[in-house]
Amino acid sequence: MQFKLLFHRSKKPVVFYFKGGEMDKKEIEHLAELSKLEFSEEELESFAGEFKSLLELADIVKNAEIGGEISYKSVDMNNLREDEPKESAPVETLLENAPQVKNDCIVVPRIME
Amino acid sequence: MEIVKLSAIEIREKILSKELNCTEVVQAFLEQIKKNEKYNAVLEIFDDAMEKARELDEKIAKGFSGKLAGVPIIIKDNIFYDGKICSCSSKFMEKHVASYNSTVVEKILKEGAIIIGRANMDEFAMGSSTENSAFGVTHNPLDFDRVPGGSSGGSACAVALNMCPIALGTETGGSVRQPASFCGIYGLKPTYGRISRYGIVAYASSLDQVGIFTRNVEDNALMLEVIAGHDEHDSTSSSVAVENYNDNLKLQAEKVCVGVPEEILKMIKNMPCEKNLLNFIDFLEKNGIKTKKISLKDIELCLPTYYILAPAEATSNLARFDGVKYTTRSEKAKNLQEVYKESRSEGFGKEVKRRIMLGNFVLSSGYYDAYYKKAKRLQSEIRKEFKRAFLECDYIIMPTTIGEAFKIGSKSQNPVDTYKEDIFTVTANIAGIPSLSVPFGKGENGLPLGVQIMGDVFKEREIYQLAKFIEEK
Repeated sequence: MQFKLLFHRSKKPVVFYFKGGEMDKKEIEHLAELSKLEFSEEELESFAGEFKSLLELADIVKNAEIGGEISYKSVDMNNLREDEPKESAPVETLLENAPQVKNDCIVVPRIME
Repeated sequence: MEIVKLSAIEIREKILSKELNCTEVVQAFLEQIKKNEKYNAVLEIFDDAMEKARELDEKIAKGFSGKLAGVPIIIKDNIFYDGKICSCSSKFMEKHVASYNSTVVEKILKEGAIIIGRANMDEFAMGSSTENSAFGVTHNPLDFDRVPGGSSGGSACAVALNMCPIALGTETGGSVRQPASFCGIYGLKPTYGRISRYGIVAYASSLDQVGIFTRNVEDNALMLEVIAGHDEHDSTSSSVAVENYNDNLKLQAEKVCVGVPEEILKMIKNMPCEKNLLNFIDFLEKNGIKTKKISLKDIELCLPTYYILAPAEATSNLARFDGVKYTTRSEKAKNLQEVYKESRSEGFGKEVKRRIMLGNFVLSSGYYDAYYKKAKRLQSEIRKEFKRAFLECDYIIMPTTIGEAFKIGSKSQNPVDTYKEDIFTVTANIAGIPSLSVPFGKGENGLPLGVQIMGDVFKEREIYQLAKFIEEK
C-alpha cells in the first residue's frame, strides 16, 4: 500500500506495526447495530473490505509509542454566558421540520408493544 | 466594467458612491450563476435576493454604509439562514428549513451583505471532492472533468467562476483550503474559536470552523473582520479582540522568519507538489524573507489522528438525525427502532455511514483507550510541537494538497485514497491554528496549486500580511 511508504520515509521515534486490522462480518454487524444502520449482505461484504484499510490507518495511532498528558482543552474555551432566562425560537417554528406533529408534539410509532 | 469581476471592496465602494446600485449588482451575479449552471456549484438561488437588493438600495439612499453593503454572498449548504432550506447536501435533510439565523449569517446581514444562494458540498461535510453530495458532483471551474475539492467545493467553484466575490464554507480537516487550492483562490481556516459555530450543522465540534473563500487577500480579511468574535451562543468562541485586519497589511519582510518543517520536505519527495514548494521557498528568499528549517516530528501522525477524532465526534453529532425530529422519516418504519434504522439507512449516503461506523468502532468498549484516547494524547503532543515551533519562526509553510485537482471518479474505489488528500491540511485543525491557502504555481496539467501559510493562534493578521506581500509580487 502506498500509504505505508509515506510513513516509512520518516525517521521518527514511533514504531509502527502493520498487522492490518481484520474485522469479521459479525463485528461489522454489531457496529451497524450500534450505529442504528442497516446494510444489505453485499454492503456488509464491501464494508468489511474497506474497514481493513481504515483500520490500518487507525492502527498507526494505536501503535504510536507516545506518552504525555491528554488535554481536552481547546484554544480558548468555555466562555459561558450568564444563566439568565431568554426568549428562544417558537415551538411552532421548531416543529415545522418534524415529519409528523400533533398538539405541539412530535408523533412517533408506539414504543410499547 | 464587468461587475462580476469586481472585488467585494470595490463593489461596496461603487455602491456607496452611487456608481452602481445593489439591484444591478445582484442581477449581474444571478446571471453569472445561471450561465454556469452546468458546474452544479449552487444548489439554490434564493428567490428573495432581488427583493433584498431593492430594500438595501433604499437603506443606502438613507445613509446606511455597512462593511459589506451590497456585497452578494453564497453560503455553504450547512449554514443556517432563517426560512431557507439547509440540507447539508443530504437526501435526509432535503426539505429541512433553517428555523433561525446562524451567527455568521446574522453578522453579514447586519453589515449589508445579500445572501444570494447556497452552495453544494460533500454530504454533511464529509469528503474532499464534493463527489459525496446527494445532489450530484460539482465540477472544477478550470477543468470540467476534475473535482473542485471538498467538502466546500460548491463555495470554492462559485468564487472562482465569479458567481460571488466572497463565499462561506466550513472546515473540519481542510474543507476550505483544499478546494481553494484546487480552484486557484484564497481559502482561510481561522483559529479554532475565532468564528462562532452557532447555526452551523456540526460534524466534529472540536475541529469545525467557518472558513472564507475570496479571489484576493483584502476581501478575505474584510470578511473575517465582520464574522469573527465571541458569541454567547457558542461557548467555544473566543473573546480575544477582533482586529481591523485591512488597516495594517504591510509586511516588514526583513523582520519575519518562515519555518519549513523538515519532515514535510521529506514527505513530499516525489509528490507533484514538491517542486512547487521548493519554488515557493526560493521565491520568499529572493524577496528578502528569511526561511528556516524547523522540526515537527509528529506531523505525519496528524492524518491518522484526524481520522479517529473526526469520526468519533461525527458519530455523536449525527445521532440526532434519527427520523424523529427534523429529518425525513422512512415510510417503511413500523416501530421506533425501525424509525431510527430505516430512516438513517435510507437517508445517509455511503461515506457518512462509513464514518459513523468508524466513529462507533473507535469509541466502543475495548477500543476507546487504544484509539480515541490515544488520538487525543497525540493531538495534545502535536499542539505542543506547533507551540514550540512558533517560538523559532513567525510562519510555517507547507503545500495545501499533494497535487492538482484529481479526475472525477478516480478515487472513489478506496476511501483511504481520498482521506490521504487531507494529509497537509488536517495539521492546522488538529493544532487549532489558523492557516490560509494561497494560490501559488501550477501543476503539470496547468492547473493551480496552493501553499498554506500557517501562524500561531490568533495570528490571522500576520498571515494576511505575508499573503498580501506574495499577492503583490
